[in-house]
Amino acid sequence: MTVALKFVYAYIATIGFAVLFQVPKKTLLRSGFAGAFGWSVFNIINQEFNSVVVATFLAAMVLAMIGERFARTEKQPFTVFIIPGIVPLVPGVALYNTMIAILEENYNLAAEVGSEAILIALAISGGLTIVLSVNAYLRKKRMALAEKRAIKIQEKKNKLVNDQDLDPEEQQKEMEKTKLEEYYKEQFFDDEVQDYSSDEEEQ
Amino acid sequence: MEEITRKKMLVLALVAGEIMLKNGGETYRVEDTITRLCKSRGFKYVESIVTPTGIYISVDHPDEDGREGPMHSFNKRIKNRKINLEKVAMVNDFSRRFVQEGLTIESGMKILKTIEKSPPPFNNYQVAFFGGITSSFFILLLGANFLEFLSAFAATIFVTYTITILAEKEFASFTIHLVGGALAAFLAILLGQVSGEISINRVIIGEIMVMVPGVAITNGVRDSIAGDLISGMARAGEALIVAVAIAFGVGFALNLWTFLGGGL
Repeated sequence: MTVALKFVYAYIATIGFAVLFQVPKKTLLRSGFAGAFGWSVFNIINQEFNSVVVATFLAAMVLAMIGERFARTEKQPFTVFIIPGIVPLVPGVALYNTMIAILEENYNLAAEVGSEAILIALAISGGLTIVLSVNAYLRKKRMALAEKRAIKIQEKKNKLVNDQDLDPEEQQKEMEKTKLEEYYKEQFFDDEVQDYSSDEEEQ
Repeated sequence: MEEITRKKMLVLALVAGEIMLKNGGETYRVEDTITRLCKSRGFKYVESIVTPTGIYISVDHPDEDGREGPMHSFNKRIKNRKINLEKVAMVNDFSRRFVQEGLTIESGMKILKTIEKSPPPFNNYQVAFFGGITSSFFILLLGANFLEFLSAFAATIFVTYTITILAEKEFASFTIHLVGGALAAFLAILLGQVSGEISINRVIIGEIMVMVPGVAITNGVRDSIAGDLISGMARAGEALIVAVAIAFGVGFALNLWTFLGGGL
């Protein structure tokens, strides 16, 4: 089966999961895309390296990146994109196999597939957590930068107002320029402040 | 800030947190929302602890003369949880607006009430239908044939509808998933008799995909990694109970079938 066909299947399956979790209607298609992309990464890496856990780990990382991106552009909590997306990756099959092995009293097999299920769960959460915490760190840094810039603009404004030597026309021009700068800063800064998408400590 | 306003503000933050938590919001997000809401209205000290079963907030603020005010704290026990991510998104959006636009507390409360009462974006039939789509396309990913695709589609519609109705009637999560698992295995066995090309195992895997606690497992591990040990353990426990319930249900139906003399 080709990768593209599987992408389509994963897309539709993820949209189904998104409906089960009652995501807002307008984000359905994006949730589906995140899930399908994550699953394709899993599929390709799993075929190349034949390791379910590593493939799941990388797929979760890619999924988290896409989810964060969408969360920012759509101004939605990132859960809306990630929760449906991780369901195709979760160890449902491994859990089922564990259960069947226990039913058949084949405890060696149960331990084997059971630990695989746990490792897959760890891989998913590990991948998500790493991406999210790195992003939270970057966001904090960007916010500090934006704040610094805001202070600088304010200082410049104060200086302009107090400057008596400048002729009025020049002053007007400079003022316009600062206003523009302020506007861009606000756009930038607001985007950061509004972003609730992931963990960030605010003391 | 007046005493009465403080109390109202605290209740507003609590209601916002409650809606989020009841509909599948993560605990850190609920904590974050409560803290932001309270801080935006001038509380100097806000601390919230959120676990999947309860919300605990305490706030402190010096009064107008700068004297030490009384400390307020609120607890809320959360009993039923379901997943409705739209409501989480709505409250998230509301808290952003409340912080930035300076809505009054009364109008904020009104908005929260409408959010709480708003119907889910998809009704039970739509959810059941998409449950069928999900499981059938999921087993296609695992390499199912067309007959298996069709049987998973039909059977999962039944299973999803049953568990949705049971969840609406507020049965315990263990019971819901036990019944769901048994029904899934039973339907798969029935369909397996129709044609030899239908693998019972594969159909069951498709059906139980709509129930598996994958999200709870993943969130549990994630919370634990992030240091939210209580909610991490609580979610892992929830996941374990659901997994055991499904396994019991499926195992019961399969064992009964073998006991009655049918081959698998």
